[in-house]
Amino acid sequence: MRRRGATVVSTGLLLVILAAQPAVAGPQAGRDGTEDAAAAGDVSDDGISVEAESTTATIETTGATTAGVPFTGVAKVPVPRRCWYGAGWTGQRYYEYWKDGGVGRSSMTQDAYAAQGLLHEGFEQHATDTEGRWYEAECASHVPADEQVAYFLSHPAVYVMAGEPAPAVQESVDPRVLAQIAAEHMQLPVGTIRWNPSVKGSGATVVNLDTFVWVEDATTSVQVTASVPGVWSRVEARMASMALSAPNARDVTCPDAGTPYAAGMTGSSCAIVFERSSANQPVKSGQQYPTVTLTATARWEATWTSSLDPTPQALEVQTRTVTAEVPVGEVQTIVTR
Amino acid sequence: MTLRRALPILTVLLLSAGCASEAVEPPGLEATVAAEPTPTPSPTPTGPALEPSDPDLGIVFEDVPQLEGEQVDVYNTVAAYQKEYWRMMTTNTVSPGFDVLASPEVTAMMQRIATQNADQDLEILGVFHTRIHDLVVDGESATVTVCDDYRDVTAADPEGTYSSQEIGLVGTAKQLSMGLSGFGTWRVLNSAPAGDC
Repeated sequence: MRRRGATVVSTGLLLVILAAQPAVAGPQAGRDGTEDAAAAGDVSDDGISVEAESTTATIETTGATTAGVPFTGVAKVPVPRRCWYGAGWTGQRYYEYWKDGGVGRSSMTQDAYAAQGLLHEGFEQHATDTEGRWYEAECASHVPADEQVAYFLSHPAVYVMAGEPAPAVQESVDPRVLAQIAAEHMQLPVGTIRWNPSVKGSGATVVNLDTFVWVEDATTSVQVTASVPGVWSRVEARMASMALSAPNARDVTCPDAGTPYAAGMTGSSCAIVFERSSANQPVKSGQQYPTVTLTATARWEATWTSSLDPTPQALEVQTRTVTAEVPVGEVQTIVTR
Repeated sequence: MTLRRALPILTVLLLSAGCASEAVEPPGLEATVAAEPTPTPSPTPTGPALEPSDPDLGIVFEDVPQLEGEQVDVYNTVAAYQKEYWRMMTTNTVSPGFDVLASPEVTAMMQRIATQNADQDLEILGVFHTRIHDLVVDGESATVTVCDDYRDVTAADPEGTYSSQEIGLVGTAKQLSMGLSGFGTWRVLNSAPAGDC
């Protein structure tokens, strides 16, 4: 039995010494039923497939902004495998388990499995080999049975002697999953909200007048490709509309990211009307003047294709939001430029 | 193809009604409960053959239910899984049997357990009691509740010996999610905590 600390020296010091004793921690056994196996991560051990759960997808992004400036990006993201060829047991270990009279045969269920002829063909030939390994088809738990059968039948177990190359792994990754990952990793510059009128110095606009709004350097189109060896999925997305909203202003939906103001411009595809001044609002942190929060929400439409199917398929609509603090003044306070 | 057994129905004369709580001590293993020369503690069911307890391995199945149809196959798979689980716990190595009985995710979890115990030079000994119950089969999937009882389990490391409670092995329940493999055999797809037994 593990000791639980030093013996107390004297009664007078009892409380002090006990308070100073660190907790003695004994070993704690791991056991089944303490975690959700579905959350299992990579494991490395004798005979167990390494990185059984995921492979790495490369995400490549290309796009353009409202100013026509191109941008690119590359990222690496784990993606769950469906089926794969995994390193299994050594020849000796597999043989010792499954041989007549072996451990596996002591179980009625396991013995019946062996009796169905499902053991690796020729496993007896490697009974004493502790260096080579069996490579076996494996599928994640969520993969439908019929897909598993197809993969297993097309990937029978093979024995690889020490020093020989392992069989090439044919990745089985769901292209829809790749497409979703690509969509989730779209790196979209959100841009900066601009507006006009914009009084010099304060940046204020005015009430009851069309305030032209545009988003500078916003992404207007993007293409994202997610790939693993042998499989790729590509998402093509474009901005479909932009919604403007602000307190004391009617919501507006614009067909695009707006048009940058140019002298003489009398109208815009994207404008909002503020109905009340912001003068009675508190000055927010970082601001010099009272403001209202203008929110621009870009709505994106996207489709995806893959190396397995060139037919574009719709993806769930995404949105991107950017905000700005806008001072709104009365007409009499405006000095024309 | 479905795994089925074609065995004759067994008829057994039950000798003692109080057997359920008594442990059968496997030869050569230390246990905290004194050995008694009693028959198998669980009543032997009449019906399709179910995976039996294994005295050599040190695992006892308790309250074995009356089952029929696919429940038999599910029970047998879970019982075989429990045997390989206990084999792993007492050897700190993952059994090749998991390749047949469980998904890669569950096998990976078993590896983490074995690694954790081996890293502490922990040797787990004794008799493992387990109860498989609440089997629900729904087409090609099933759920099963399993009680893992470590009351007759001890452990040792280079520092000393421990009771099961001292190393955190207390009786707990787990829920196993099962699915049919492509070859018609059942597999444990997931094992998750399910509170107390």
